[in-house]
Amino acid sequence: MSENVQTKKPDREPAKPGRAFFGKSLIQRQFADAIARGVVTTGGWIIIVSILAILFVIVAEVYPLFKTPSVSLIAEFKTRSVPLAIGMDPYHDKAYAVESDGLRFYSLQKKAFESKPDLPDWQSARVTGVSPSTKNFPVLGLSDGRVYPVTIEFRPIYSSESKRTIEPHVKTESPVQVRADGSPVTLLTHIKNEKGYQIAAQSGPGRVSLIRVRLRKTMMGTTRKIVSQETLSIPAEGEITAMVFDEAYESLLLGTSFGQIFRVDLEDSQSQLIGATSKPGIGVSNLNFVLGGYTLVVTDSEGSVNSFQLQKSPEEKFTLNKIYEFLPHKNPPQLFSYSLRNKGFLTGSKEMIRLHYGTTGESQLEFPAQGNADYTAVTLAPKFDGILAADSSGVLHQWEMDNPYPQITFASLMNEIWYEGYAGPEYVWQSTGGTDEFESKFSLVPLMFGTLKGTVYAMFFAVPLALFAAFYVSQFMKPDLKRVTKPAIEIMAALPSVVLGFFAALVIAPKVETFLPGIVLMPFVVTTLIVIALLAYETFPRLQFLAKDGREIYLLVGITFFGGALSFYGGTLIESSLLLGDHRVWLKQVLDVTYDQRNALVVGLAMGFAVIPIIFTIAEDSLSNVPDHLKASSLALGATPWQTALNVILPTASPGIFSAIMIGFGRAIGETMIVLMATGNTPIMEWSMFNGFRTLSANIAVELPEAPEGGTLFRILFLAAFLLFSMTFVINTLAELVRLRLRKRYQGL
Amino acid sequence: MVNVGKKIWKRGDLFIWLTGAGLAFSLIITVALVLGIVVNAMGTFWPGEIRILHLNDGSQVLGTQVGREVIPDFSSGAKRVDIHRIQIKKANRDIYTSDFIWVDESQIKSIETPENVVAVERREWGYFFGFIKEIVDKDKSLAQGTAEGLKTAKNILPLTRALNKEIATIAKKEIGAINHKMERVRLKLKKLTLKGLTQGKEVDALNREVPELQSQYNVLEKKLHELRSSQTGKIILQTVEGQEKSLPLSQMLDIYNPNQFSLLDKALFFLKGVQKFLWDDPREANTEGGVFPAIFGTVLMVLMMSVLATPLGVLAAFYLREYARQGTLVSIVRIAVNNLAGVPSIVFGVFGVGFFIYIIGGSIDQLFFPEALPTPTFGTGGILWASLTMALLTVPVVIVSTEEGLAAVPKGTREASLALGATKFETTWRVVLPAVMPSILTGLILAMARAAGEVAPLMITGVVKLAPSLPIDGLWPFVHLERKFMHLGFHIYDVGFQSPNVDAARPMVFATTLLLILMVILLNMAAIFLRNRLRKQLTASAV
Repeated sequence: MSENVQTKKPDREPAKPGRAFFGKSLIQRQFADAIARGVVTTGGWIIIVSILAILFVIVAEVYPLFKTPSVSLIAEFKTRSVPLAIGMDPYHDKAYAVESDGLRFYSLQKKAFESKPDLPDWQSARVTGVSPSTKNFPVLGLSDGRVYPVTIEFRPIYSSESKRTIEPHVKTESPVQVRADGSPVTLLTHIKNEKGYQIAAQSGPGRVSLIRVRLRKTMMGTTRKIVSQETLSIPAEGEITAMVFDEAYESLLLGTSFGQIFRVDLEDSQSQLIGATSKPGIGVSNLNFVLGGYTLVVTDSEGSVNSFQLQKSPEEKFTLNKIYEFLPHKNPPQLFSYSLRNKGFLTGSKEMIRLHYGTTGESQLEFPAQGNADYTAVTLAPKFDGILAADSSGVLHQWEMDNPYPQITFASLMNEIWYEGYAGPEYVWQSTGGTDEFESKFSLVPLMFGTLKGTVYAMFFAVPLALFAAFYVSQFMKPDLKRVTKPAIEIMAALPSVVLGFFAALVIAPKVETFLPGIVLMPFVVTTLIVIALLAYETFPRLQFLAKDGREIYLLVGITFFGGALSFYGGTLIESSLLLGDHRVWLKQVLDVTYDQRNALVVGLAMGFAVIPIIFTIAEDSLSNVPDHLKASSLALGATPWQTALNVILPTASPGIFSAIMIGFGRAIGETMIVLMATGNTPIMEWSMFNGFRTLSANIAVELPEAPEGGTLFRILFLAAFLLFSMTFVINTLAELVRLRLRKRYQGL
Repeated sequence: MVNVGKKIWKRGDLFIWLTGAGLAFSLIITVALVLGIVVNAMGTFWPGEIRILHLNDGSQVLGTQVGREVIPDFSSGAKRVDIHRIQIKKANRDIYTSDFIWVDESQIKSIETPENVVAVERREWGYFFGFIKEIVDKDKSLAQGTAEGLKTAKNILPLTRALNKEIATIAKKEIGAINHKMERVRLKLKKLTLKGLTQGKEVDALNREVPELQSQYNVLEKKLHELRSSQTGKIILQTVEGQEKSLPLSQMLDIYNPNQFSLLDKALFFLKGVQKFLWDDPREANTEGGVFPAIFGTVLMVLMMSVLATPLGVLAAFYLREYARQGTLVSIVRIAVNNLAGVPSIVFGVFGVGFFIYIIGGSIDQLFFPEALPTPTFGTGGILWASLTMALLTVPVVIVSTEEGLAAVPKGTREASLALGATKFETTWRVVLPAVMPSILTGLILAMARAAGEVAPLMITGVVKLAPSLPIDGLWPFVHLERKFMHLGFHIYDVGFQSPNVDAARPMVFATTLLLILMVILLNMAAIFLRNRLRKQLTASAV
């Protein structure tokens, strides 16, 4: 190599043998040639492959979204007796089980019993009913008529090698007598927040005992407990079979063996029938809310699992609206556990545990019971990454779950979904919200709609203008003018889209708002003026020096300019005389259309501006490249230039024009900055030209910087990018193929 | 008349004219857009006269006119074309709540152009328009009244400027350097700790550096304090309403009386404004000052992109045209590469985020900068990743342009070289490459123009609204490719849309826009010129 550098000579000097730039002997030269071939070939391939790798990287980021959730059984071991309720810590280290003689801790790592904490004031009772809790606050119903709330804490302890172990602790509250006769408590429910807790327990036929415990911080910094107890009587037929508190602490929902669901207002103890199971007479087996307290899951004695939303009418009447039917069980599902991270939940009957997802209505996983054992307890791991179940043979089953994106399915991205708090199923994009319990709404439909809307408006503006201009330049313009015009349009193509977007939003949008009627008038006014000018031109031959030999463009620029000014003025006149003085008021009052300043019309204009030069250049090329002899023969046969252009040139070049439009379309689909700046970026779905929209591309630009890597939003944005990529790639390839065919055809002519 | 109409219809003249109108319209809007930007941008630096408007209600408004429009009237139901209102920039943002006000022309009783008035450019709160009451330095009055005050202030101005420059040098450069060193020591120590070294010679040496740096810092801090407290002069300004405002002289960047400017003065002021715009750092959330860091960032990014994209693009093009066997596969690859130029730029940005930043950058951080984690070094947006993304975006442009050039080199030229005994490489290097040089250059220039104007992919790969330091500076290792940077295009988006005071930011946005389109248009014109020359050359050589 150093030799090469030393012997380098100016290009002009003839290469003499022996002093050549590429080495001395033939072998050296051939060696250099081989090396160069290798470098170019491998280099070329590496570059081509890496360019094409774009698609693969994007797909690789999207793929995990659609991976089916997977589970693996990692532990199975015997418990001391049959667990009635279970729970576990977030790190899958320890678990607790409520058994008939109290509480036990098990180590999931060692697959063994660990300890049995002392529960004070137990009085040799047996557990006859449990209100289970994902938040590790089960309330036990005892055989002597008491309820016993227990708080379990899993405290992480870090050893010197920074290894983490979990130490379970128990905090008990004082038990409360709910059945004076001392008969066992079997059906109970509870709810807890930072201010205290409430327990409801069935204390007789149609009677529910309600215990409220409120925690008050005193001035001294200690906490005072205020306990109150009352009994509600429910005028329901049949037995009460299920109970749940709503998360707002306002009411208690009850299900009966006749399949009715009541709402008992906790303020005034009034009860109201709000719904029923799908078939009359089929009893409710379980009532539960999923995270957030909006979606109520009702299971019945036939085994079906349905989700409802509790809705309040303006007259304070409550109704249950059915949202989804999930895959049913064979036996009445008695077990339930909901995720603390998302809208996932488990339902369990004797023979089967199923994992469902509340937002999508999908039943994702199933865990059939083994042998003759019946499931007796189940819980979801706090991080939604595992499931723990216990059965009547006293065996604990632990599964690990890989299900990071449960709410994403093809259907949930593309279909209407009835989100919590909405009046009906809708397409919604709302990726972030204020609270942890916020339900992200990832429908791509509004974004795809926005993309299409922007593109359509842009094409509506750009296609006629660009094609007219291309037609004129290629067919009727003098070549000397053509040499100036084409670069001018190419410069137009080079204007950065951020400049167009800025201009559209800060200059065009206010102007369009002021002069809207004038803009609508403009095409008509300009056409009329051209007709008048043409008539005048033909009638008075003395005027013809103005537009001789294809130089009418000067005249046309003048006419168009004048026409534009005239229509602005006319628009103002029309506005004050016909449109109530302000077109926005008129639009609102007469057509009931709201006018946003940054709207589809403005985007259409700006994006159209960006697309015009692209369509123009390609269309002009294909029109100019029509072989000359076609034109010449047509003219020779007596056709006028217009007839020739319309009947000979246009049909021949039509595939090229088609491909020009396609490529313009492809450009408009992916345009980002103009849409970002010139619309309000609201993901709404209306075709009106006076309001905004949000496109896939603008959505990526807005949300990607804030999306945590590897999260659901992050991957959905990659999916949006993938959609854009494939759409434009397909469109461009089609256009390219059409163009190649056209070129062959010209060669044949 | 009817005959004429028939004739026109038959000959299709009407349609020809209509198509012409399409072209005319496209040209008009292009020119209007460029002119609109140029006029608005030029107005930014041109000093307007400061006038006093006496209103009918007896109040006064002092300021420069910046706009005029028809009064929108929603209540009466009739748009009145004949009545206008004007927008006045009255400055003094700290005293009035906003610096702009609309005044109905019908409300104006008279307009006065006072001879003695000053415009003060301040470090904070934007401009001040008003009068000088007094200039004082430690209770000593230096000047009184506007005329005398302006003279004195102009004499003081160079001194304060020099002092401010010194302060800036210490605060930014010297203290910045010490902070940089301390951060490096901290990271080195952490690196050693990660290796398991908490004692030993290396650790001691590093620990000894800390007090040394700390004392250096203290010295500088003290000096800074002294310099700051040495500026005791104050200028007492007065608004048109008579409200007083005391401004430390150190806060004054410039002072002038536009009403006494001659045309030459105005032109000079304009040029000075342009110079400041090009060379200064931005102030006041980017709405004032200059755009130097954005220019620097844009140029550096474009250069890095060129260095990466050109050789790669040329290599790929040579492979496709000269070395690969022409067949279906190569045709498919060629179509794919062509189409890549039409893939939305934001998609490249997404790829840059997924691949460069998280996969490559994340791995680099794990391997080479574990001491800084969890703060990412390369695992976040930066100029290197932005340039690489841009390079990928523009490689197809270079490939297509180079391929076009290669296709235009006559086969005979190559054959002649081969016939003389040159190897393929020699032919390519000495015959083909010089012939396609203009095409490569065209492709490069087009790629540069595209990269300079593209914003969307940069937004997600490393552009920020305000970068604390440039990617190249005097601190080891001098070139900081991991740093975030500013960009003219993003500056337009940010200042125009994210700024709290849109009216005040508007001139700045127009000026930046003009700068950007000048850059892009000049690059494009160069490419068009080159291409035309090349075509001529080729037709000549073919004959």
